[in-house]
Amino acid sequence: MADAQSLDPLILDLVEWVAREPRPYLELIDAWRTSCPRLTVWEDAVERGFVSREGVSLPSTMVHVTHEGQAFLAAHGRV
Amino acid sequence: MSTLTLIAVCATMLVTNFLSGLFGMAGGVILIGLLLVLLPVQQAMVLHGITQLASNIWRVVVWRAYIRWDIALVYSIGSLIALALWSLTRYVPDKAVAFLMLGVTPFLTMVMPKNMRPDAESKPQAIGYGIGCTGLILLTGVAGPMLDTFFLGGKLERRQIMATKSVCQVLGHTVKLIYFAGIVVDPGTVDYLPAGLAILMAAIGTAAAKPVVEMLSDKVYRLWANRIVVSVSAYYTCYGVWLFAGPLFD
Repeated sequence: MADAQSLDPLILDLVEWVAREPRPYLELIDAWRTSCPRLTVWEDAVERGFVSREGVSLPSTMVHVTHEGQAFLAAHGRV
Repeated sequence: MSTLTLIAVCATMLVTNFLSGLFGMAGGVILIGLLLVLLPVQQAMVLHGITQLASNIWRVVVWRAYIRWDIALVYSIGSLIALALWSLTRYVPDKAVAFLMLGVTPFLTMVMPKNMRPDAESKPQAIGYGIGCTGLILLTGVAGPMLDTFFLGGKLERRQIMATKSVCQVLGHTVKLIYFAGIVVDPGTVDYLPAGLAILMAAIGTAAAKPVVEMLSDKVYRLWANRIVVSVSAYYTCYGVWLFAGPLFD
């Protein structure tokens, strides 16, 4: 599996996409889940605290960008 | 192929494709390991090549708009160089070598120095990885982990990575089929019934994994994906060493 550093450009893309507007969790997973190579972009973004889920029932669960995510975007000149 | 072997091969295909669909990885690595246990090296390579070709051709079709043909073209030069070099020797690895290399491969990418950063857009690197990955495919049947390392370096976006990697996998497995079904001294034959069943089992296994993927939490996925890769690699390495060492104790 790829290490988190090598996925940074893709994690930036994901955080930037969520920062534009909160996205439904199901839409996000549908757009970002990949296989072979399995790219853990979503998992890494959550673990590093850049995005967070809100809501318990799945269809209405939304994903928002966090302060850490905003700072990550700013540090890479994406805002 | 006996009926019992055919049933074992079908069950193997079903389970490994289910795993592959679930974790998006490791399916090809586990499949070739089990096929090597059930069949002679050439036959295992040919059958494995057919199923991997089918799944990668499907990915190429789905993601065709995102393929970086410039990278795939240069990579193919490396693939052809590897095929030419291997064809000169007509080397067929014995099972011990295949298992050892299969076990060690995922760790090769971990021990690569950080400053040797792969760049998918570098042409010399594309040729180098073309030779390396295709050589590895001819030794072990798979080169997924090494190819992932190459494509994750550079600035390709997610869909370009998946699409272009699939083209390179199609190339690699085509080279494997040409080599093991045509060039080596005692080629493996393409048995159409197992090949057809293998593709069918691959489709069923992958489709069956989809609803389970939806239920799998992200943390559980990461934990099990890592455990699977490490366990399978460790097992292959031990089995390869055992196959090597066995004759010494006879």
